[in-house]
Formats: sequence, structure tokens, C-alpha cells
Amino acid sequence: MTAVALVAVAVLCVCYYSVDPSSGPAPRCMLKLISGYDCPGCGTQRALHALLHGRVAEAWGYNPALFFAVPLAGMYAVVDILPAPVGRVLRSPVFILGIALAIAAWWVGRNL
Amino acid sequence: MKIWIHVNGVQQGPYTKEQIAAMHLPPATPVWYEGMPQWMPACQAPELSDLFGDHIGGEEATVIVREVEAEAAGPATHTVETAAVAVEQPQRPPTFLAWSIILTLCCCTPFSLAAVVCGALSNARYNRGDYEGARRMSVATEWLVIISITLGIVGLPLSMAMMF
Repeated sequence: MTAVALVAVAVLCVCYYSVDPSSGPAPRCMLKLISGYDCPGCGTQRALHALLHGRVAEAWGYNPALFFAVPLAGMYAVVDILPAPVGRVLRSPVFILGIALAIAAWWVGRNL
Repeated sequence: MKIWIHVNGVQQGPYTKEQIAAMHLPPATPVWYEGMPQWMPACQAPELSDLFGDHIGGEEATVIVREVEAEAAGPATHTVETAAVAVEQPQRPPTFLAWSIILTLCCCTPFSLAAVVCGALSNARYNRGDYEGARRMSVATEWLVIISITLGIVGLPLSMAMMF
């Protein structure tokens, strides 16, 4: 178990320092390869890479959705221990459908 | 007006109408206030009709209330000491929203978008009191999340292979 963790950390370090996802051998989005259009998640890998190297503005340029999705998902992960009014908003079907609409709009909008 | 309610098998109250309004209870929640002959789903109680008026409680609500009545032995025993009565109000089924939002970012599949919509529908059904429907929609959401993860894992090496 420790060995596996060490190998994983080593691989992540190599990726962090030597692989640039905007040019190097990194996984590509299947949907983009098939359709040719950017999906809502395209650019996340490059954005994370930029963010981990402290380049926030560049990360925003690759995929601004990352900056909304991660806090939102984090809130949903702990929704049961959030204050009741916040939980009520997060659980309201209208709010969740709003998220779905925002994702769909971002998908279409970024390809225009 | 003092209002008593049954939530998760426990009698609670008395509350004012304003407090009841702020709680956003499921419309099938059994309620009782002075002057009512028996426990009723909140959506069918005349005094609360403006809070729950747009909902239709349906048969399920009536069944729940009948169970409460059977065990509470009438509305006269509405003291705090009354033993907890089993009311069938199951836990809200999971919506897997943290999963589906993150998967939208990293797996590039429309399945996670469908999972978000299914999560919304599951919560909508739960709020309506359709617990069985909410549970089934939650299971559908879970499958959409599993499909997204699977496609992501399969697509990862495939996409790298297609580059060469």
C-alpha cells in the first residue's frame, strides 16, 4: 500500500514538472476527438496544470467552469452538514435544473 | 394557532403557522391543530391550505396519516410525552450531484449532464411526497454516474492511443 502510494506520488511529480498537457502526452477528451467540438470540461486538465503552477489567469482562460464547478461539487459533497437554509437552496430542483442549464449553455456558448 | 407535526416518527411542536411555513415540510407530513378532528396530511389541512395548497397529497399521504392515527389513538394525546409514532417518511435518496458535476468537467460525457437533471427530478419527486419515484430516479442517477465514470476510464487510454 505504501509502495503504491509512493509510486503514485512519483508519477504525479513527474507529470507536474515535465508534462505540459497543452502539448505533451496527456489524455484527450473523447467527445472532442469524436465531435470536434469543445465539451463543457475541455481545458480542465490544462487549467489544473496552470493552476498548480500558480498561473490563475491562464487557468481561467483554459476553462473558467472549473472555478464554479469545484466549489459547487464540494458543497454538494457536504450538503448534509451545511446550515439548513443553504441545504434547502442546494436541494431545490429549480436550482439543480439551473446548474444543468448553465452546463448546457456553456457547452453551446463556448463553441459559437 | 398551535400546530403539531410528525417528522421521522417523532411528534414535534407546538409550532406557529409562520414556523411551519419556514420549515418547507413535505406536503404529506401529518399535522394536527386544535379544532381538527384527526391528523391530516399538511396539504389537506384547511388552515394550511395556503402553504401547501398547490400540492396534491395523494393516497400515500392519507395512508401515512391513517397509520399515525392508529398509533397515536386520537388527537387528544398531543403532549410531548406521547410515544414516538412510526411515520413512513423515508430519507431523501442521494442525488450524486457532487459526482455528476465533477464528471461533467473530467469525463467529457453527456451522461453526467443527464445525471444532474435526474438528480433534480429525484428531489422534486421527494418534495412532492413521491418517495418511491424519488428512489427510482436516484437509482437512475447512480447508473448515469457509473456509466460516466466507466466511459471516462475507458476513454483515457483510448484517447492517448489515438494521438499516435
